[in-house]
Amino acid sequence: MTLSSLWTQRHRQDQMGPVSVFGFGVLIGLVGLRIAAMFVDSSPRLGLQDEQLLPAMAGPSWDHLLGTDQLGRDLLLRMVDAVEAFFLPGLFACLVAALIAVPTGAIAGYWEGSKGAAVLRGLLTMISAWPRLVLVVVVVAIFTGSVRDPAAWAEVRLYLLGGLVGLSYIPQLGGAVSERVQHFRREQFVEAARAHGLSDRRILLWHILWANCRHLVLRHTCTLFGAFILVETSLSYLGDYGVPPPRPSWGNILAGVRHSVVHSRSLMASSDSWSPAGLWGGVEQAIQHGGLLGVLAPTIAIAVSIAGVLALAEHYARRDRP
Amino acid sequence: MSAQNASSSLVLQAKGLSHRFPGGVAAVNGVDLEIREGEVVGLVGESGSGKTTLGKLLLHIIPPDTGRVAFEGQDLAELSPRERRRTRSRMQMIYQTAAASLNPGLTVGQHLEETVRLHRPEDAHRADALVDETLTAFRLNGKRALHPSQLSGGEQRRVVVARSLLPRPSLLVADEPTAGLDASVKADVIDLLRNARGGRTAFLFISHELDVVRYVADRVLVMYRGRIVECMPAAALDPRDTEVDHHPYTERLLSAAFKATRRVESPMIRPTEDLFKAGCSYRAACHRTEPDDPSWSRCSQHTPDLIPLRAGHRVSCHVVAPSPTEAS
Amino acid sequence: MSDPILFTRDLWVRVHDPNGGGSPIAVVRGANIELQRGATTCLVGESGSGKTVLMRALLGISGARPGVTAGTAWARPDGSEFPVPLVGPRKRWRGRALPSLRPGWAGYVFQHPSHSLDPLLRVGDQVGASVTIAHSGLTPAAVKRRVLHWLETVHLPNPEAVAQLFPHELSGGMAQRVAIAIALATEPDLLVADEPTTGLDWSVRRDIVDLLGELCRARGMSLLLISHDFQVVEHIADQLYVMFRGELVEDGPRRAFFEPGPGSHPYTRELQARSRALEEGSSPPRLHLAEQPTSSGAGCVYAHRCPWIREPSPERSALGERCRSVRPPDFRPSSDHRVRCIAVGEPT
Ligand SMILES: Nc1ncnc2c1ncn2[C@@H]1O[C@H](COP(=O)(O)OP(=O)(O)OP(=O)(O)O)[C@@H](O)[C@H]1O
Ligand code: SF4
Ligand code: SF4
Ligand SMILES: [Mg+2]
Repeated sequence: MTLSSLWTQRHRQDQMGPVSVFGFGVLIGLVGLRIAAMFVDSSPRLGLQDEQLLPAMAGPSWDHLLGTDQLGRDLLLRMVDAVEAFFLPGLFACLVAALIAVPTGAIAGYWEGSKGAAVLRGLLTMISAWPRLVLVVVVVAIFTGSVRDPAAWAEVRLYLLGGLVGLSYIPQLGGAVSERVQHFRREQFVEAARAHGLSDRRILLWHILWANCRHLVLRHTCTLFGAFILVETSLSYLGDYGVPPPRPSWGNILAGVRHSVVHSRSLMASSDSWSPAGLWGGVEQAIQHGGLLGVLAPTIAIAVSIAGVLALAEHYARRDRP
Repeated sequence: MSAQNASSSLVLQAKGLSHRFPGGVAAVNGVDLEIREGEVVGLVGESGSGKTTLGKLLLHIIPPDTGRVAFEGQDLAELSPRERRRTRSRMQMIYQTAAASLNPGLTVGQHLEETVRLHRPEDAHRADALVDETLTAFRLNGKRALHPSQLSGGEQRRVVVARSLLPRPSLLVADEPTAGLDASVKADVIDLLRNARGGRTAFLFISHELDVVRYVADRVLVMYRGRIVECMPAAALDPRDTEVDHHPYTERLLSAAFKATRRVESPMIRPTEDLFKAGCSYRAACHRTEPDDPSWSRCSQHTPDLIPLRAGHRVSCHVVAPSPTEAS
Repeated sequence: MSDPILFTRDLWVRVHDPNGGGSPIAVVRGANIELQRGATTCLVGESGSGKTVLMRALLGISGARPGVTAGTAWARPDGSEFPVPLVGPRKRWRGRALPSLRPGWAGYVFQHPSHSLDPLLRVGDQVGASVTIAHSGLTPAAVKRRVLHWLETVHLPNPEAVAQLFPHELSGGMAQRVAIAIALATEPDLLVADEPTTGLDWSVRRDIVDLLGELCRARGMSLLLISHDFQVVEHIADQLYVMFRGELVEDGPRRAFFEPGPGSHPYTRELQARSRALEEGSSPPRLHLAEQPTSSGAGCVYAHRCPWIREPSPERSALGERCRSVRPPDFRPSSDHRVRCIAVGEPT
């Protein structure tokens, strides 16, 4: 039994597959960008005070690798600076979710039959029954409406958004943790640990949560982080409740260069798209004069970040023993 | 192995222990038991006879329905949960399934380090070295960073034994510590157990392997359906010795040894009324009596007591060991 | 004379190194096994020596997918040879479509009955499922008749009632009998039992072993019994294989092991001496455990523990040098007895 279970179990784990490598790569990239963003100042944010004002929607050049946006600001700098908009608020969302959901789920799962657990479980179910994402938007809207100068409160609003997204994820994470704890609580090793003289607290914290649930929690927080990137960029793209311009966010960068999609498409269409060379010419034109990069850069950044974070979630899911 | 003198102190004293699982039959039914310092008590019996349950009752892992357990003179039921947890460093249990009693998410090293920190706080400063020493003593070098699922059955068993011996307990309930091990590793685990604390640890040694029990134990208890039906010196547990009288169930067990001189065939299970109410619980399968025998009425109405046959040998059977009052 | 029902030629099974090393480690090294028709073959060896892996690989039981295998295994359920799909069910083998073995030609009984029984199904239905493997298209009444027949064959009292029970309502001995009935219901030519008596009391152990022996005699079935228990082996074996760290270090007929003869492998002697000591209640001989086995795979697999090369004499230490560097050749004391040990081959 031992040797045969050996290859079925160990085989899958502990080897960094391409998915894990991609996930960690993206994570390292995001952290790097966040650090870079502290040193980068993409001001002049309005791009107007600058003496050497750049042409709007310029193609890439050596000084401006990604070209400029619709107001003639360096796109690369803004892309990097935009990481600020979701990175810490996203972590805040994860922290809120984990700090509330893990203890709740653990208690509800471990003292399964007790009254307190029943109450916690009821709360989890109640939260999960509400239309959570709508609530998030409504609360952010109320907040925006109630402060006099929304732009000044943008930072707070982002953290508020993070906290709310984190709260909305609690039922999912809490449910998963409680189910997992419930499963392990009935395992023999828990009884053996108790017979060995360990206290319930230590069994719960070390033997169950740390040893057997940490990958589960990490997996869920990665998913949540991905969800937050999506929420933040979407709200910023839509306008009112996300990151207010001139502060950059991948969402509002994309919104700003929205019209260039049409422009690039017409540039590409006008070229002789039947021959490869002609098609390439069209693309090149779209990049140089149509601001195609302004569209592609934020889109790819959003897609790669979310995919990377989800890959990380997958990495932890694989390590998670059932 | 050595004969225990009566003066050595009692480690454990249990009286009238009973336990019934919800909706089930009585797994343990009125057991009295005393274990002295350093004594090895063997416990044998068929699968499901309540051996594991008895072991857990003795350590108060399951609280008994009735009866009391005194460990080193202290009634376990009267201790607060915290005090009971403290005493656990002196009473340990080796679970029947080694794989299931280790945490799949922790490494061998983490298991042992935890034990050192918890039960040997005075050695906590050299926990690392102590763990290494223990691993060497149990031939687990190089396994420190492995998870239980990466160990072979024998290695898992040795980890469990190491973990339960590290606190230097005065009582160890070992539930089939050698099941499923090959002869080599088996002898090895037994040696490790016997050398524990220089022979000052008392054991309840639960096993199906009568020869192992005879080798390890000083005294053997035979359990059948929740009752102790026989209590004898380990030497009496010899399949080739037909001189000594045994309880009919023990007789059947011994006769099933491949080396036994004769085989006791037990009758197909006879239908009987509730076996757990009154009467001998073995009567459904007993070869010493028949429903038309004169003894049958006693067997089916009165639960036999443990009656001394010889020094240190008591049997609970109306036929093999009639009580003095019945005999007259 | 030899009429094997299953044989392997130089079978290797490798798994990925659990310690995280890159190269796979061999858990079965070049096994040559022949299971004779109608005979009981026992495979003994240390826990973790690869017995279960070998058995699973050579019967192609799914779930046990070795990292790499080499070698061949052939089954001859009815005299004609079939290649055994070594790595789980496969449609093709070496580019040829597989002449398929009759499903259920081999039956298995696992160490713990709970490994062979489904907790959610009644005993009758589980045996019935096996019956339909051997005979498809039976009417429910015919299936039921056969189910009762098999339950009776394994000496379960009151088969009608037992068929209605769920596995958790069975005692250990009954559950193991049901597991055997399930294995028998496919009418196998070969029954493989992996430590079928572990954790059962002596009286049940005896019953199960006697039952297995009786079934083989009555049905002409071959039995491969994997066991730690030398007493069981001594009682039932016709042919023995001894395994140590993935290598079959000795094989031969029963008499080669239980009657005094020319030499046995030092590991076999260790096993015998220690199980005999336990049986007789004497202190088992000490093992030489100080040395760790080398992982290189060169030399004798037993060299790190072999007592022979540890005796303080110059010849013995010279022998030890060779034991650690050369893979010992096979030595045959008699035509059907093989020992893989240098010292047995060249008595000093
Ligand atoms: N958690 C439980 N819930 C209900 N019944 C139980 C539980 N544990 C054990 N039992 C029942 O109690 C009885 C005694 O079980 P126990 O495990 O003590 O037997 P055992 O002698 O140790 O058997 P084995 O030799 O198979 O280990 C059995 O009938 C068993 O089915
Ligand atoms: S008391 Fe009666 S039934 Fe019980 S063991 Fe003795 S003879 Fe058998
Ligand atoms: S080959 Fe050498 S080491 Fe191996 S068993 Fe024989 S004598 Fe011992
Ligand atoms: Mg038990």
